Amino acid sequence: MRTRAAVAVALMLAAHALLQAGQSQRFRTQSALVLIDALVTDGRRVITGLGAGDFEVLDNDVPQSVEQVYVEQLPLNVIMVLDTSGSVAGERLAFLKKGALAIVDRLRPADRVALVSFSHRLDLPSGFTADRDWVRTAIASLRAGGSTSLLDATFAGLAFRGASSTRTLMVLFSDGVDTGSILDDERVLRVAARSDATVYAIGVRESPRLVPGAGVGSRIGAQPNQPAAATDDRFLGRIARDTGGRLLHAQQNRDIETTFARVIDEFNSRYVLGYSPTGSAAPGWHQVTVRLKKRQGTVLARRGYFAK
Amino acid sequence: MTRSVWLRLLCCLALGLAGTATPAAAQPRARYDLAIDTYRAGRAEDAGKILAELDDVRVMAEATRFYQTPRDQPDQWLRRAQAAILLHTEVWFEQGQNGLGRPRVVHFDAARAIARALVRAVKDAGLSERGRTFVRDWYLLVVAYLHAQASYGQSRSLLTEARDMFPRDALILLASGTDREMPAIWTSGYLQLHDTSGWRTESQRINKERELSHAAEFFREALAVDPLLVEGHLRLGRTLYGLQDLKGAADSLETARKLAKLPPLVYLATLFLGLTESAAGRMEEAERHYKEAIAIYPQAQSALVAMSELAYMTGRTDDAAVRMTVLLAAYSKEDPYWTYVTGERWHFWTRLPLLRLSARQ
Repeated sequence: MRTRAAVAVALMLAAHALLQAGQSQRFRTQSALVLIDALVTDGRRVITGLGAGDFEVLDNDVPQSVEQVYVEQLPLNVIMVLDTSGSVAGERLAFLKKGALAIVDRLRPADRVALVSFSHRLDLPSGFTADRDWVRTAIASLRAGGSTSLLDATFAGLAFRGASSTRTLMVLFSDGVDTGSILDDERVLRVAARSDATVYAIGVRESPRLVPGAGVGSRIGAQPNQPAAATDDRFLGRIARDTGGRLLHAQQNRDIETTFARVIDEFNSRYVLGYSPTGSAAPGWHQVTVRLKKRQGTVLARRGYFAK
Repeated sequence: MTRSVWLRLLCCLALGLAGTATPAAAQPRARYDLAIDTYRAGRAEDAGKILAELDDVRVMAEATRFYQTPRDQPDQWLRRAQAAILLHTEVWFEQGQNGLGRPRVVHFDAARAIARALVRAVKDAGLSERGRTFVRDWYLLVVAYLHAQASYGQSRSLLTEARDMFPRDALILLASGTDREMPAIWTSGYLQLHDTSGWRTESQRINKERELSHAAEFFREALAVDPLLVEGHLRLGRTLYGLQDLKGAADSLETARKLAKLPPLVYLATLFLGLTESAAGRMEEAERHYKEAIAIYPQAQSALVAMSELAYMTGRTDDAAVRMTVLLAAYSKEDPYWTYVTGERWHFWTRLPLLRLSARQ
C-alpha cells in the first residue's frame, strides 16, 4: 500500500498549547510529541469517520501507539502563496482572487491566514491575521506582472511561519515554471522536509493568454515561451507529495475558485494522529509510514520528520 | 479577343492604377532608400512608418539589392547596409515588443540577409573590418532580444550561425554558453526550437545536465580566447555549481570576484560563492559570503532569500522567519540576479545605442 507520512514535530511547548486547546486527555507530555496529518481516500473520494484504531503508524519501522486529535479543535494557520506573474494577468487573476476569498470565507474564527504573492519579486500583502476584512482587502490589491520565482516563494511560505507549531496549510498557486529563483528545487524540498506544513499545490491546465508589453522594455523579460500546460507539475507534485498534501489542477480559469474551495474542504476532512515516539528517539531524519490496518484506502501523509 | 481576356486586361489596368495611388507602390526603391536615409538621420519612428508602406515581397526584393558586392563607394555602401540592418531589426523589435500579433518576420529575414551579405562583402571587396564587428554585435543584440522574450530555442539556431561566421569570438561563445545555461535554470519545461528564420520546428524537453555541460564547454572556450572575461568566469562558476562541481565552481567564482570591478558582478560572484559553500556544507563560509553580498546590495532579494535558507537549514527557524519577514516587507526593488537570469538581455540596452551610433555615422 502506498504510504505517505505527514508529521509535525512539537516539543513540550506544543503539547502545552494543545493541552490548552482541550486536548489534554489525548497526549502524554513527558517526551517529544509527533503529530501526523493524514488524508485517506479510496482513490477518488475522501474517507471520513475513521478512528485512531484504524491506523498503523511506524516511526523508523517501529510501530507506535497512536491517539487521534480532533481537527475541529486545532487552530489552523493558512499561508496562501500566490503566483501573480505576467501570465496571470486578466481573467486568471480575477478568478485567482475569487479562489483566495473562497478560502478566507471557509476559515473558522480561531484560524489565521497570511498572504504571500510573487512574480520575480516576493511580496507580503498580509502577514498572519484573524482579521478577515484585512485579508480581503489585501487580496483585492493583488496585481499581476513580471516573471516567476516559484521556488523562492515556496521557501518564503515555509520559512515565514518560523518555529510555530500550529497546524499549517500552505496553498501554493502557480501557472508557470520557475524562471528567476536563487534557490533550486532540491534546496526547497529539503526545507519542506524540515517543515511540518502541509502543502496543497494548485496548477492551471488552460494556457495563459499573452500579455502585451512584457518584452525588452519591461524591467525583466517576458514569461517563458512554453507550450500549453506549462505549469511546473514536477516540482508542485513533489512538494505536495513530500509534505502529505496534494497537487490539484483547475482545468480552466473559471475552475480556480472551486479548486481553492476544494482544498480547504478537503483539509478539514483530514485526520491528525499523535504519538510520543517509542523505540525510535534518535535525532535526525525519521521515516514515517502510515497505513490502514484493516480496510483498503490510500493514506497521504508526510514521509518523515527531523528530530532534534 | 474574347470578352474574358478584355476583362482580365481591364482588371490589371485597374490594379495598376490603384497601385500607383500610393507612393510605395509607385517608387518602392525610392521609398526604401528614403527609409534608410531617415533612419540614418536619427528618425527611427518615421523610417519605420515609411518601411511599413512596403509589402513583404518588396521588402525582401529591396534587401537583396545588398547581395551585389559594391564596386563604387564601398564605405557608403557599408554605412547604408548597416543602417538597413538595424532599421529592419528595430521594426521587428517594435512589433514584437508591443504585442501587435506576430511580428513581420520579413524584417528579421531582411536584416539577417543583409548582415550575411555584409560579411561576404568585407571578405570579397576588402571592406573595413568594422563591418564584421557590426554584424557580430548585431547577432549579440538579436540574441539579447530573444533572451528577453525567453525564446531560447530561437536564439540557439541564430548562435550556431554566428559561431560559423565568428568561430573564435569570445563574446559569441559567451552568449552561446549563456543560451544553454538559462533554460537549465528553469525548474522544468520544454524548449521550442526554431529554424533560423524564426519558425517553430519542434519541441524538446530540457535536459538540465546536458544543457549545463554544453554551457560549461562554451564558457571555457570563451575564456580560452579571453581569460579576463569576468562574466565568463561568473557564469562558468554558476554552471559548475549547477553540475555539482563545487571545487571548480568555487575556483571560477573566486577568479570572477577578483577580476570584477562593477558592483553587480561582485555581488553575483559573492552570492554564488555562498551558494557553493553552502552546498559543500561549509555554512560559516557561506554565511560570510552572503553577508558580504548583502552589504553590497542591502535590499537585493536573492541574497536575503539565500541567507534565510541558510538560517533555516542550520536549525535557526525563527531567525529564518524574521529574515523572511523583513525581506517580504522590504519589497526589493533592485537585484542583480534578476538581470543575470535574463541571460544576454543584460546587455541589450548597452548594445543597441552603440549599434545605432555605428549605423548613423
